[in-house]
Amino acid sequence: MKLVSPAGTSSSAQRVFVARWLSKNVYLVGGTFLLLMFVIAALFGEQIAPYGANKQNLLEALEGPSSDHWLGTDPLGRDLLSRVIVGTRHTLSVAVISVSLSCFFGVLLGLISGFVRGPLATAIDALVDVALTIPNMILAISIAAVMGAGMTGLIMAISISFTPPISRIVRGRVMEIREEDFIAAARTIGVRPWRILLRHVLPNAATVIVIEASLQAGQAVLTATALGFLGLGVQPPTPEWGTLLGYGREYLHVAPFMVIAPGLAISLMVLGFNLLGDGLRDWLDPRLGN
Amino acid sequence: MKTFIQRTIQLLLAVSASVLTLSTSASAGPDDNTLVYGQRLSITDIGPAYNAFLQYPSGYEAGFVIFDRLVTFDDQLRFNPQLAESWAIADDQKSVTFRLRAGATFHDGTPINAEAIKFNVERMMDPEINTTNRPLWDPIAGADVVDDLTVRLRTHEPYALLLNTLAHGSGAILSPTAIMENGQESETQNPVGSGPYKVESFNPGLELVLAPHDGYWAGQPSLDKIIFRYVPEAATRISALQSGEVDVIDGVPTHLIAQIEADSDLQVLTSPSLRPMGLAMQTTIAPLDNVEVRRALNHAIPVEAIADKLFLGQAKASDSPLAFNTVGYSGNEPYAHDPDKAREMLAAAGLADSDGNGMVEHEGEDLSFTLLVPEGVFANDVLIAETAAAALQDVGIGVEIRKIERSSFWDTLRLPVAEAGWQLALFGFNPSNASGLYHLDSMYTSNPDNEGRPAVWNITRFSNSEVDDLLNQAKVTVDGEARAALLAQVQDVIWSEAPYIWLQVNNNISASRADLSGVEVWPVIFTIVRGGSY
Repeated sequence: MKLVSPAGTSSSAQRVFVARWLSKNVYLVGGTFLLLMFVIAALFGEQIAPYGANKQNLLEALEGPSSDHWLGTDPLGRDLLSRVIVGTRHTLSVAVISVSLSCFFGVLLGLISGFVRGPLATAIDALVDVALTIPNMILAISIAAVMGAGMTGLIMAISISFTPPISRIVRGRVMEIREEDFIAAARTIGVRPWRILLRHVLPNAATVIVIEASLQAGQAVLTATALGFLGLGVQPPTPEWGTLLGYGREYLHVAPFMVIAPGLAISLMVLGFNLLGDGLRDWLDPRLGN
Repeated sequence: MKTFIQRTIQLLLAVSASVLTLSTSASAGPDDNTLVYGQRLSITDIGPAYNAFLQYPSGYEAGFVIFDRLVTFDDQLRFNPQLAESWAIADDQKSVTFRLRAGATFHDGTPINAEAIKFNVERMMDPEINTTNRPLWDPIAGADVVDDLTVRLRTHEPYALLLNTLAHGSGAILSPTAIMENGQESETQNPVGSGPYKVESFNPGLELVLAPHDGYWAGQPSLDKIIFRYVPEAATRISALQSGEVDVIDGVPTHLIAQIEADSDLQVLTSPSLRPMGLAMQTTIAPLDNVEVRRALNHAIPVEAIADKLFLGQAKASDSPLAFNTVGYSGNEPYAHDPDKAREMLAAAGLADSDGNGMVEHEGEDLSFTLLVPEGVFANDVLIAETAAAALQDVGIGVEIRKIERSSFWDTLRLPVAEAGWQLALFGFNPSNASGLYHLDSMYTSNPDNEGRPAVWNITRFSNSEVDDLLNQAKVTVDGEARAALLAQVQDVIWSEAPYIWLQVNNNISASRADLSGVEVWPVIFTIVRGGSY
């Protein structure tokens, strides 16, 4: 006779499992949910926004939150909610693109300097050491100031300033893996070094990279908006959170809602990335007992 | 989760940074008879020579307290005697004789006599020493000592603006003794003048402290101390004023006036400025070389709405290339805001939307201009640019705003046509000697090389022989009414040729503690604390 477990039992066991997984990974779930909202806003901003992001109406300038304008209007009567929603695309894509770039180069440099011994590794180490002594923000501001306001400058600034920390973290992990027995085994049977690096070292370092990337994305959002705040972000009238915050600052006493809207958006996006990073670590890192 | 908490705290700090910058600490109030003036720009050097008050207008404002001039303006920009008691113009109109006030001395005790005036005038005539205010001083031919208290200034031609030049900040009279003893360049850091207050200490870029001049010819100054302090952020200046840390501030944004008015301890000080704002057009580049296109663009911008809504009434739509209070101003028929008319005029000039995409085409491509704008140089500068861009888009002209760092703004404005990279730029000229002739001459006289850098501020490359002739006549016309008639014709031509999209003239807005009197805001931007008292 075939052993058939009653369907109910199975699904309730599944439910318990899902519930336990969810409660264990509440950060991961929360972060993913928040970021999913931002991704939707970034993809369909114009369709979701109640008004055109650049639609001016001087007769409705600087109005507080109301049923017509949930987050109020700016000095040109533009709807702040619409500007914040449409601005999501800019900030999110800057964060994602610049972190992808910094991961690519950081991982490349980290793999080489961690795995290879010799003058090349020493040179990379020295370079990264020097770059790490310069505060991220200062480096980003200088690069953005030279490149001028605009998306290219912003992405370059962030990815260059974020590459050294990633490279350093990857290098540490690679040096750990390098000494493992399975690497020695692979070497013994004559696997080529680049193959060892790509097939055996990189996958084992992937967890660290993914976690670090998601945490860095949060920092990238802060750096991007800070540069916008300082006037190094985008050209008007493009809505960008940091720029909105910078304009709003002057109106703090008369129209505090001008800083609340973009401030909240920035906080939530950074929170999303940080929750995702911490959640991924809890979930993926075996040393934490999962 | 420690790192997570740390990061969250960092985030909160970053987002609320703006709030934190507002926190100020209360210190010296008005009780100690000290006036602290929080300026939006710093003072880096003092004195009329060399770079002449490098930071504008902050350095000039200090100069007006430390130095006397032969004549001065009042807050309506009329001439008043200062070191000169009286003056007389010669019959040939090529010299003016000044009778000096008796008994006036410099801060170092040196008496003020005809020799001292001659010394100062000759310094300003020297291009090596006076490097920045050449157009004001070039017409002057020399100074003669008639007797100890009488000096005669000669000009090459009849010079209608001699008094304007002498009342200008560069007309400051300094102690010859101090300059001879301490070296020509001593004045930039430690100048000796004859005004009611003298330099006590100077920390360039941060703070200038002045003490009373006990031998001042008009009697003992009423304050114990005047401090000029650099406070760049508008919101910080206002908080400092409210807390009593400073007593006077300049550069109050229009939307923050209500906050000051609501505080009975404070008062708002305003004056209409002499700087008419506009969008400069490169008039040598097609299609902006067509006057009908330039006029059409003038009909496209809602200037009244900018003045009323953006400046909350602290501005007025222009009706002349000169501001309403400039000497020589005459009004014209305004370009009414009428987008339909603008579209018709553009179509008549060959700029029509033939492919139905909402944008007009020029030589087969959608027409689009680059609009150059600085951030924080002119009141509401970026907001004006965004409003204008939306209004031009509404009549089918694309606008790409190029916001530029304020330190490189002035130079980018003056680039040769081929390198400029902009077709529209937000600009306004401030005639710091209050003269409409100087204003029109600086902005609209034809450039010697119209493709290169403009000689003065003719950045639109406007070139009109009638205007050139009329301005040349006005320069040698000493009679005020006759000169005004010539200037009215000039304004008429320029207004209808429309090298600018004319915008607004806004007020200079400063504020002070209500118990402080005698602080003046001059139409030429300057806030003058010289006569302040509690």
